[in-house]
Amino acid sequence: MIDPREIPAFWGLCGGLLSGAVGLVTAYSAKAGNPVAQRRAWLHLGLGIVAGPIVAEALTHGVILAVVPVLDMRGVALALGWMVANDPRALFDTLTRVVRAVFNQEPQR
Amino acid sequence: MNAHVLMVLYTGITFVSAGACLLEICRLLGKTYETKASASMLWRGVHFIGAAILFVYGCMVLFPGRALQVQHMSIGLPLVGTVIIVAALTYLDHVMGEREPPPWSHQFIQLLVLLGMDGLSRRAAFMLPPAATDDGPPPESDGNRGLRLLVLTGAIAVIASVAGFILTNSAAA
Repeated sequence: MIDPREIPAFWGLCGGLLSGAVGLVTAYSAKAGNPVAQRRAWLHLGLGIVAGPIVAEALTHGVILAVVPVLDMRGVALALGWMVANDPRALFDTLTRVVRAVFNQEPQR
Repeated sequence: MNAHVLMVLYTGITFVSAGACLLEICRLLGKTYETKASASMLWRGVHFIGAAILFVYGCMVLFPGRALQVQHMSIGLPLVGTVIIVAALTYLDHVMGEREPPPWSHQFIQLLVLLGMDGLSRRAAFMLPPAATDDGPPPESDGNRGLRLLVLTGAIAVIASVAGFILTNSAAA
């Protein structure tokens, strides 16, 4: 019997679902709602359901827990699922900044 | 944190929120923003006492101490809390539709002006949307209101269930 709570993909799915549902609440509210926003919110929900588990499974054990092992798997996978559903570009920006910081190549201000 | 603790938290929050709704109704029934004759002090006092009772009971459920035994709370109390919060919100909606108070943002800025925070109130006033968007035309197609409420309810149910799952299965639980 597989316990889904041991799998990062399940927690990524939770994060993606949360983000998509929050977007749906905004898009279907009385003042901000219009058909374009509603279609975009449904697409974001689909993105969270599809991409959240994939990204969480790919990055949790392989990258983030390998770099910082003290983190809890559940929280890391949840945050990854939320981030990829909320704004996929922010995830890549964060990863780029982490890699730059590792190689000491941050842009100087 | 288990399901029973979640149930107790939900019960307390519904009662406290219903008390807050009744307090706002009591304020709106007064002389502040009347478009009709304000209610009598007796009727407003009934609302205030009801708000106080709901608020104190919700706080007792949230922080029981020795006053209340929440370990053996039945499923009936959260259901009663749900009924009360829905009724209070409906009543608040009715009263706000009848009295038409100014928007929350305007009242907040008025409060800032009353407190003498000129710079803060000026900055907040600049962040307001233009007054034309506040009372725009009513939506022309109100036919799919049921669909909208259905989607909203489903999304809120998803959020609540995922949040409950996280609370009952996190590292701290």
